[in-house]
Amino acid sequence: MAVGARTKGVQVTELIDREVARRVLERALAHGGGLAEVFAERSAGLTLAIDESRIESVQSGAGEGAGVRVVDAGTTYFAHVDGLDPDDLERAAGEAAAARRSSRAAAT
Amino acid sequence: MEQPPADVPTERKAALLRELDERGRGAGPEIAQFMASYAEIRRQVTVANSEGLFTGDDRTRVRIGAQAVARRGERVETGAETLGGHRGFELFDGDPGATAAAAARKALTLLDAGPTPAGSMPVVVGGGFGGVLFHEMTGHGLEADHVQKGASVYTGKLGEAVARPLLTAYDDGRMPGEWGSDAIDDEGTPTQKTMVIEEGRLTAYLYDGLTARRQGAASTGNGRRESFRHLPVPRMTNTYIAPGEPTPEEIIAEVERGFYAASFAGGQVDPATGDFVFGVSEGYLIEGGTVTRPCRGATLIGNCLEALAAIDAVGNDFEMKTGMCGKAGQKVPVGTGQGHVRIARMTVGGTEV
Repeated sequence: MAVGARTKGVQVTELIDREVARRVLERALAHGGGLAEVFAERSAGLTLAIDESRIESVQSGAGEGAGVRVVDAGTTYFAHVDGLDPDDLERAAGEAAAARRSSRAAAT
Repeated sequence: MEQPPADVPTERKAALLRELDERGRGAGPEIAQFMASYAEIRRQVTVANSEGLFTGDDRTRVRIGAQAVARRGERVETGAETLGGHRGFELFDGDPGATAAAAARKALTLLDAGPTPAGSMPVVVGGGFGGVLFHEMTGHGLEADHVQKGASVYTGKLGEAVARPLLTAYDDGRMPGEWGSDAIDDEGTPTQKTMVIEEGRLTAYLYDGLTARRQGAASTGNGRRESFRHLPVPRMTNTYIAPGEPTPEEIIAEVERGFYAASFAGGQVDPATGDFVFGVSEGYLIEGGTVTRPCRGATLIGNCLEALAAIDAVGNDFEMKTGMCGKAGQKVPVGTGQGHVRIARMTVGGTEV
């Protein structure tokens, strides 16, 4: 896995800051696990169409959210939330961690 | 990016569509219907992991699509064309109307199409959209999750000759401004230009983080996901057979009787055997070294490994087209492309024997 990947330009796009990321990852691995990742995204789009020579639809959409995964011995535990509220992200991390814990408990 | 789409007034985008509409309808009196669409999307991402990675990306894509319907009496034919990139609105500074004209031309050409000959013959695959064949029959087979599950005919073939020495192919996530390009994949790994076939030899698979770990290999920056609601899996970026030596005319001139497949629509590949059937949406006869009449309803029937090994000419032209690739219930933008490529012998499914 790459560490410290290069990015376009000087500024890293920070939808969540490093401190929030650190807390989320820590929570995700609270019950152990090999690797944790948080992926935050904000998207915004616009579409227009023309039909029968008339501009038919102008649709704009926007959304943001994050997915947290914990990978452990080839199994992935995953939770995602809408929005980028740090509390919601930590909750998602907790869900992923809990999923791993209950899966391992069930296996023993 | 020179012209962020957010800075371009909506009226200019509407004017672009009206220009497409005029060019499409103006292509001929038999154009019965014409539709076009414009889309822009900006995607900002931040990725952090427990190995100390913290990175992000800001991606803007724009795309136009045109669809034409041509009618002559009872006969109705359609044609489509797209133009897009990982770029701003400056992509449309050239001649975007050409996209509309191309869609209309395809529909009109098909009005003159006759039955397709059936049988085994040389097949020349066109540049641009012709690259869908390589994407489907080889590209997916190089995705490391398919390889590791044994769901690929390329499993265990690294280092082997899978094509003739005239063929070199890449998956390149770094092509400037192309639809399938990004600076980093959706796990934060920098994208790269990966040579998957070198002079006929299979040299690389396409990895994401998990498949790379499983193999003790490095991620090739192919871990992509449709959105934060999806998990990343190995995906292609821009996949193509690199240009060769002969011109398209030279390649076609050597075919006494064959088939020219310009574009594909629909198809199935059996991952276990590599057997495939593809629908040809734009096809022509080749007679005496020249492309002659258009054909309708053609299919190409073959096997991935056999077809790849049977490519005996790669042209010196090149064009990339945009596509949305679906896998594991999610879609990502990909570039497919190539120049003209000739398959020595392949089964063409048609109605005329």
